[in-house]
Amino acid sequence: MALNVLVVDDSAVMRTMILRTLQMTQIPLGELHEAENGREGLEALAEHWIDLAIVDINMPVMDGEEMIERARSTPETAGTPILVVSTEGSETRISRIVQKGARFVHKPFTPEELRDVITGLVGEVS
Amino acid sequence: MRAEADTIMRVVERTCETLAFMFPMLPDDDPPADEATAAVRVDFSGPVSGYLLVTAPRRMLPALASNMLGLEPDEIAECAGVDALKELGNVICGNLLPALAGPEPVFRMSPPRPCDAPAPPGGAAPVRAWLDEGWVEVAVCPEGGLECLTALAARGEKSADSARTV
Repeated sequence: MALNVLVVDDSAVMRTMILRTLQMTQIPLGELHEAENGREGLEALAEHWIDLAIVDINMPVMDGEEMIERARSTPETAGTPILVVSTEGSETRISRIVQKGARFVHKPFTPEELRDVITGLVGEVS
Repeated sequence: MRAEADTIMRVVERTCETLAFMFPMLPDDDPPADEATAAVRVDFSGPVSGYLLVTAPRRMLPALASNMLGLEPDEIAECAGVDALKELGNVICGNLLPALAGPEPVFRMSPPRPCDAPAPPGGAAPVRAWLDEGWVEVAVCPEGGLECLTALAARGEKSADSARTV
């Protein structure tokens, strides 16, 4: 099954880095969607079938934490696997994010780190 | 200040290595005063507010973008170099704040923005990391000085010690 992926990050460079890393994995990819902030991310989740959302935390307009809260409180997206890829270093905030059911990968990441977490996450879902 | 400078250097080198495949080199002579540079600024707020300045020579930006995006330098748009420096600044800032202030405080970071590189205010001596493709200079400028950030880490350690004692 090809995976539809949404990447939400305000940095176009980081979105490209994440998408290129995804393309280097053996994971079959379907539609790839991009959003620049949490609000656009929620719109993409509402418009498309997304199998995995990769979300940054510090973003303008709506941050990733609020986006995850809203996605979790919407029945259609409550179970969507979410991977947070962020520079966030506060254990307090990371713990809040993990309690909402998201996985966490710290920036800077190696392609192998990102690949391994996504492979694990996708394996649990399928 | 030596310990803080070492921490900043360690974070900058690790970030450049992992994010941009640029590796640390032994320090070189100071760059020429007229070398064209680009700088980005990341504002942060929280228990302590302030900003981080990241400066690099313009000649290094195509290689920075090329390494980060996995594209050949001639495939890179000119603006991508500054965008890559902005992301580098963002990741350095996100990793430096907990390295200096400890893992508990929550900081909010603003999106990085290009700026003219002003001399940092007193007390925030920039740290320059030499890399195989050039150099990156980082100045951390918290309101009240660097001590305000490191004091947060000391307070966190003290309260963790008290919790262990109880």
